[in-house]
Amino acid sequence: MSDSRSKLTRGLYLSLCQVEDEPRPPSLPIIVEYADHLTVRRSAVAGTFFARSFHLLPLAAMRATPSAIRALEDEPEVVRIYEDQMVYATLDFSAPHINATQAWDSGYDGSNVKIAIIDTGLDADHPDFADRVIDMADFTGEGHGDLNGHGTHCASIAAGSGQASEGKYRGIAPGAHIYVGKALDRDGAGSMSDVMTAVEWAVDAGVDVISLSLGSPGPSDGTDALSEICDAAVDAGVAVCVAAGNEGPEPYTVGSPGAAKNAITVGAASDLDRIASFSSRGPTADGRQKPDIIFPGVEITAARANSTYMGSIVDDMYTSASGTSMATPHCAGACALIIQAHPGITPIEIKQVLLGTAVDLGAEGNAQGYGRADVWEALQADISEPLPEPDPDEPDENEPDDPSTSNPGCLGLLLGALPEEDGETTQRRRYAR
Amino acid sequence: MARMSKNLETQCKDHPRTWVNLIVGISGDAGEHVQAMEKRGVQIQRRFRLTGKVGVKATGKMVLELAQAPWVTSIEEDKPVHAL
Repeated sequence: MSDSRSKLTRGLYLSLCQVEDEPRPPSLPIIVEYADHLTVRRSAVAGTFFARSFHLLPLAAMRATPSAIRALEDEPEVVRIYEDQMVYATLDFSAPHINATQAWDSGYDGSNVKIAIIDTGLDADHPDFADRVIDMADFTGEGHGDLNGHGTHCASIAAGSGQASEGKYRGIAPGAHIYVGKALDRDGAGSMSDVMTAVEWAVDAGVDVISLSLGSPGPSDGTDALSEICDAAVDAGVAVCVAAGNEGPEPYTVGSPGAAKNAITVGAASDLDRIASFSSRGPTADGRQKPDIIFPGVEITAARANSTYMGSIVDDMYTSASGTSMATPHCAGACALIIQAHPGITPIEIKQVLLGTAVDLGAEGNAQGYGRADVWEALQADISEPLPEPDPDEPDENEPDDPSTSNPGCLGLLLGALPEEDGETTQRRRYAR
Repeated sequence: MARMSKNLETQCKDHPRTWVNLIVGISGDAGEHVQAMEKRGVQIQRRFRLTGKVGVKATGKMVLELAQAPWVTSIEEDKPVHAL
């Protein structure tokens, strides 16, 4: 144990103990807190390799040998020494970033809403899914279990309870009922018809939301069989969230089912709202703007399936991974919260409230869609009046012809699809709080 | 003629005896048309209730014949899909 007078954090103390007695101990990344800004650079100790200082706080990042760390500890100007740890955009960051935590605080956790995860299966024994897996179907012939890890990771982003992390890595809709359609095998591969069969199974099971973190290389015009069955599922009353793809940043990289007209196509960003370079960009092959919306999808820590090695492993129960695959179940969880808040809301209305309340990141429309989702704003949208359903085949007059044109604003494009009444748009009135 | 990619058409012409997995869109009486496909030697794998499409296995030659049927609206490859 570190004694109470030590300036070292417990994590750094333990790391130091591990390497201190080695014949040639390595230097460790540390952050040193000084008493004031004046002493930050003045305090040079042999064996330290200065990296940077910070103007807001009297801190300096550096690498230091174990003996140098001990010497720093003896410096009177040094207040505290921290381990410079790797930072991950875990669910405990991404959930508050999209204001899902405010929804939880108001009692919305997706309870009784049914989410289908169509993917590589699920480790149903993971504590984060205890008592909430309602049905599982295998379309691969491998059995229900997740031999890849992708499906378990995605399911926990949408609806994991975070039980194995004492709530730290909690999914967006931790109260939702989970349905698992296994359409991808241990290699994360399947066929369009396998996925289509799983979509029909989910619709027949009566789910409210389907999450599809999968796709085939683009571009698609949305008339391929997989995109069409996603649209048909929306017509049947199911909100369908599909990954935009990981082929960005080039344009025309949205494939199937990302190009589905009525599905919610999800791109990925970091928790700093930087759109991931890998996130596929529109337009679709027929010139429509995609993705529709952005959710966090960079270095997301979520459940790890037993005996799988997908992503950067955090511990026995969790792993970290990036992709529009990770952004998509955030959207599915958000849909579940909206459905719980507004029973009877249609999938088209869910899409409209999510898009209409998204935060404009100032990026191109074909990179960010309508912007980054704000779940709490979406939950509070006034949906008491019926929304006119935009005709997906009708070109949006406000949509820029040039796909590289900057997005005119979150509500801007959506307003173009809705009629104006008495000089005030329906959309603006409905979403005004 | 049914909607079909140039790529698939060329592939079927070049390899008329090679079996390929497809998704076929049909209009009208699905049951009747499924029987008609089976009579041509097409193997029916799956039927999709939501879109009325059919998952089939057929040779390149069968595909080119199917494409001429007035009730066939689209023919596309049953492409591989991957986790993203």
